[in-house]
Amino acid sequence: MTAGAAPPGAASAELDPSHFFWLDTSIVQPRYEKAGAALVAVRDTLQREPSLCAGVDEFLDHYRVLAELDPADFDAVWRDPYAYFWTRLAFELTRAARRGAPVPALARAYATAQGCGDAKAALAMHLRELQRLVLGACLRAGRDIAFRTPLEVRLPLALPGTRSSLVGNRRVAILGCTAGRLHVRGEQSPAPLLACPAIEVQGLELLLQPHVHNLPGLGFYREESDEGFEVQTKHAHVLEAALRILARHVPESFAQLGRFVRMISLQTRDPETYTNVTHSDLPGTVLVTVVQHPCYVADALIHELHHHRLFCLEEVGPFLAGPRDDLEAEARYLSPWRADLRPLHGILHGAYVFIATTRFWLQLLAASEEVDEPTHLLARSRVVGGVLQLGIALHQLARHARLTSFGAALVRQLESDLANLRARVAAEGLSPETPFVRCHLDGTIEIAESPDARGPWQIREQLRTHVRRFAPPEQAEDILRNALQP
Amino acid sequence: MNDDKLDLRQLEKDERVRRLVEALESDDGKQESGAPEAAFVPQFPASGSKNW
Repeated sequence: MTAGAAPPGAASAELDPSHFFWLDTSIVQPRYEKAGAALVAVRDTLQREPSLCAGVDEFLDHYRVLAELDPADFDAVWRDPYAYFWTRLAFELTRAARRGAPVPALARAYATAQGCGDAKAALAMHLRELQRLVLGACLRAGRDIAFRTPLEVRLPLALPGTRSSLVGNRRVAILGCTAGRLHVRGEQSPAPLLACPAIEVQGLELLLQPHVHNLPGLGFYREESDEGFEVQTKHAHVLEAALRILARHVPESFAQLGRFVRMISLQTRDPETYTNVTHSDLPGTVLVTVVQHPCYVADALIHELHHHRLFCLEEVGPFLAGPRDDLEAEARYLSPWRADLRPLHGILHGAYVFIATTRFWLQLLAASEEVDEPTHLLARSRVVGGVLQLGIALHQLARHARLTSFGAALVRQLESDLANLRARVAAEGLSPETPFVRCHLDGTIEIAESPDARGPWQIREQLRTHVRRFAPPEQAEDILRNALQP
Repeated sequence: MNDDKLDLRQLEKDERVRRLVEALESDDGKQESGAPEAAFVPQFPASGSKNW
């Protein structure tokens, strides 16, 4: 089903959909421009309604500092992940404070974490947080600033637009900066700053900056970890090896990576808390759990890169016509990748990123002389599993989704991509009975045993078990009959 | 490959500002289904587990 007219900018999707959906990097810039336009819109509204909440006059002063910057300094700060995070929250809290509109989930979590009881209090608190961007900009530009109200933050603080962090595990009140030096109330002056590490592979530089995730309400940053970038430094070599694999085997993804991702936060976790994260509101940064196998980390980088791609594509227009399919809405659909039921929008994101990662593992299979036997087994498992899971995901979308015309163009492309993948899998002689293979955090690779201990767990059987266990009964019957048939 | 430098003074003249202000200031609820410029992408952390 499709609904609605094509949004402006979607013409490229019709002219050359494969290029537009997979390779076009002109989709990056509008996201940052839109966030800038939203900052101006918040300024305009608060200028007209300065009594909406406390602190509007200070906010307008800080806005003027940003507007007076050399574009090179503003650009560097505005491409920092925090700029989009701040702007979206400011937009939503302004709308909520002004109109009593519902406050989205992240803004609610943010307000709660800041101890704010209503939208107006949360907006007042959040307007002060623009000082983070002003501070980063002034440090970059060598411009002095003394805040009327000190910026109170819990450390560590990544200073936007710079490589610097103010580290520690305490709350501080930042007074401002002079001549590129930071001043904190009651502490050594200037405050000592640490530069985050960076890695460079074939001209691509990525910052290893975990502190960017230390934001109220977000819940990703683990306070006990990596105050001084020790985790980043210790595991950077795995990331470097992963980047070299990308450059070698999927150069089209490697070439895009620096356009969509500028910062990586490496974390060490256990199997129960393993996760990689791309957040819709933190463009340009990803959180990656360290696995001591560079191909697995390469897979994670491709996966997260394509979440960022899809967020940029969504700025062109929405994919789903039904508001209930928004990710904040009730999740009702089986995902082939997760145990919890998901909204269709999440399944669409999964389909998009797993097409990219399945292509990667196919490329590795094609260069089998360059990988060891365990990695070859893992690649076969990921390719066969990927194709079967994509079949389920696209079946779920075809069965349940009400797509916009733009979303329908995307799904047509994904169906075409899956058909190509299936043809390549057939050409490789791979079957659904291929063993399901796991990669552990220490990099060891293991063929999974079937639950009845009768030998290797065949991938199609593993997926059938997943569907029977986690799908609502009517979806399970439909998927088993139509998307996982022998 | 290089994008233009973002400049806040230039962004103040951007056509998207008007539509975003409308979305902020409209009292009739139209922005929920209004122009794409008024809406942000669905908000979520895209995260995965270790199974796959």
